[in-house]
Amino acid sequence: WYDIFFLGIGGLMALMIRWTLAYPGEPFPILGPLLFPYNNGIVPPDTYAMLFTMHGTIMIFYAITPLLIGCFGNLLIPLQIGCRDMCFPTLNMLSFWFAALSGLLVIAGLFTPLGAAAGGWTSYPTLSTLIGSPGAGQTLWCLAIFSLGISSTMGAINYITTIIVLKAPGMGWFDMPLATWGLFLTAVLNAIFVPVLGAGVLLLIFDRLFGTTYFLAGAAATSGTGDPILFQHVFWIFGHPEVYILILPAWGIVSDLLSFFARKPAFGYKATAMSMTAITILSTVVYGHHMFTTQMSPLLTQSFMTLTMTISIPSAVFFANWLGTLWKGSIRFDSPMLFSLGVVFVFGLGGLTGLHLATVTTDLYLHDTYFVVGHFHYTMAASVLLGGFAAVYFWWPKMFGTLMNEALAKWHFWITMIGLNMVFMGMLVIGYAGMHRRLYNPFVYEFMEKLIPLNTFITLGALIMGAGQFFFLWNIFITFRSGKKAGDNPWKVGTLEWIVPSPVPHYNFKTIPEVKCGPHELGHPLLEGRDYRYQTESLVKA
Amino acid sequence: MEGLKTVDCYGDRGREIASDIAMTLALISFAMLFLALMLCYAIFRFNATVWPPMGMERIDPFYPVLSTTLMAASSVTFEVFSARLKKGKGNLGFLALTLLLGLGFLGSQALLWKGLLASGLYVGSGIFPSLIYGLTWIHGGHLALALLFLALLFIKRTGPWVKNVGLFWHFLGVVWFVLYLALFVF
Repeated sequence: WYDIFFLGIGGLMALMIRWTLAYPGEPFPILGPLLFPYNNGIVPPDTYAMLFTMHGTIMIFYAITPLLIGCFGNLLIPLQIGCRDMCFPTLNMLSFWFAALSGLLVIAGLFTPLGAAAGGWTSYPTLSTLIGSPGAGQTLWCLAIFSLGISSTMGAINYITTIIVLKAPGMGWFDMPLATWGLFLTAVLNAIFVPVLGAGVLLLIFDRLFGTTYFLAGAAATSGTGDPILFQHVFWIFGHPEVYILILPAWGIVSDLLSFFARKPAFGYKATAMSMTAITILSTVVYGHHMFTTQMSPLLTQSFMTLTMTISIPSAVFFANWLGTLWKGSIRFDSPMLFSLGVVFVFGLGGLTGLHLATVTTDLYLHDTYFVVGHFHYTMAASVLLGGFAAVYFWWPKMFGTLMNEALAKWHFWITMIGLNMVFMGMLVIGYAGMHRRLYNPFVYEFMEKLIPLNTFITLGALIMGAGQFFFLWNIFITFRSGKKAGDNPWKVGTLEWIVPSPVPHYNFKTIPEVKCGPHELGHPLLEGRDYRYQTESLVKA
Repeated sequence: MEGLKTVDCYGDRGREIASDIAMTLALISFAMLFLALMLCYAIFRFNATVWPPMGMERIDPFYPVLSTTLMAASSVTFEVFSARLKKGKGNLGFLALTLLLGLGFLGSQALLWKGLLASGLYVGSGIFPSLIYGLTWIHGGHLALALLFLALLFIKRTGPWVKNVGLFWHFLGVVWFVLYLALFVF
């Protein structure tokens, strides 16, 4: 619930951004005159900065993280490895409350006199220091991020330990569903790199609250020299693993779902698990590709470029495995499958655009344009969001014991897909044309004025996408009111969570299951009467 | 089966393994925090032509040395406490001594900060004092948390808890030693 609330706010902010770009000078409908009475209802420039900052922050830290890592991590890990609860339940609770505190802090920023943080979700100094952002909003943002960092780290320690220690008897590393693999690798990255963000943000807090000079240099500092670029380094050492943190669970979930709905074992299961691991490791050494324009030495930029391109290799491996899973499968087009196929499409596109950005020479042109925005929204928003929806539709019966309405789900899918592609494909185009991001009014540049119609198209796409979400919310509403009862295993698959009744009882498993096979044993020749096999069954030749 | 914590299914040895893994991960996380801070220090230091920069002088070593001594002593007393506990002679005197030495460390830090202010080295005076204050504050903050855990040991003294609090305490001691060398010696 926490998550849907924040998704709503983040989405609304995105709409406000789009409106400003599509109809510059026009007041925002309904809310405009309410929020900005002094400006005739038009979004003012400083608010615009606040909007893209908070939109990014909220979507990344308060929408995706709580949904895929918080919600599905806590749900799936114990169930899929066959244990009763996380290793450290109290730690788990603490992790949630720190996250809730963080949410409060970040929203509080909106109510300060000078407004919320407006330095971009990346919060670069000097803009994010007291000189650029004098209000309490930015400080609250920093504190919120720090609190969330504590929450994530605690959660990560819990997840890793649980997966290592509490796998059911008979379950080896390569018998775990890929969703659990994704969550495990995410937790590893979380545990190692979130503290780095903590350090950076802590130093920024010190700069703001106590007057230290870590990030203030030259005329900006009262005395002594700091280094604003240092923040960028520290931030992106965290930041790059962070984007993989966000997507690894979705990759794992999609890998599993494609197998289940094609009624085939996952093609190259081990290779997929190993590629995800390789990506996890490689993601730690590529952070410099966010900083190609900071005058780093060419030796460094070329190294980062080569390493970044290397990451595309394991990505291609598991992408090919996805396609291999689908090939000659007997595909069921239920809603989780539609969303998973959507992920395959958008991630393919988004990933390919990443190569343009990895190349230093093209990145110098594309940096800070809408091409980047299109790229990361395709890989992050589109893939993770669609993956998240796939997960919700798939595990809803297990969580609540009812089935969601398929027709509404299909409407949700198609409208979201159409809207999403309109928006982000459009962004790739305008970015390629050179339109800058984070600018209140990019149309001060005359050549940009030709892009106004395309911006209007994008905003239309955003509105369509937003409208599509009402199908989702309506679906949730009516399913709660009068949903069809789901059995224990409506999707007919064999991973451990489908052994227990729906909704899941508090203690998960009455007796700890003993695992006999892998998670994607579909279509085994010895099966009779059905095409799936529970992980706890052993098959005997009749 | 409801009230039972899930890892209890594997007994004491299971709990120990789980807590070992978790503590290792926690230490890695804390280490990454301090590593990131040391990265900042290293970048500032090795890009400066002269250190301390801006004509500042090295800090008078009395309080740093005192802090290091107190910290080292507290690690020793903790180990004595832990060893005695294992042998069954669980007297809390050494635990109390550790706690006192830890508090002494914080006190010595406070006096260090007072001394810095008295000699005109304020927080905003530049990158050198910024580093000293910032890093020692962060270390001190974690130490305060560790003191709370030490106090907890008065109430709860099971094997894994003592081991882990000890690890955290020694970890902070090592961090302090690195900080001491970086900020006050070299």
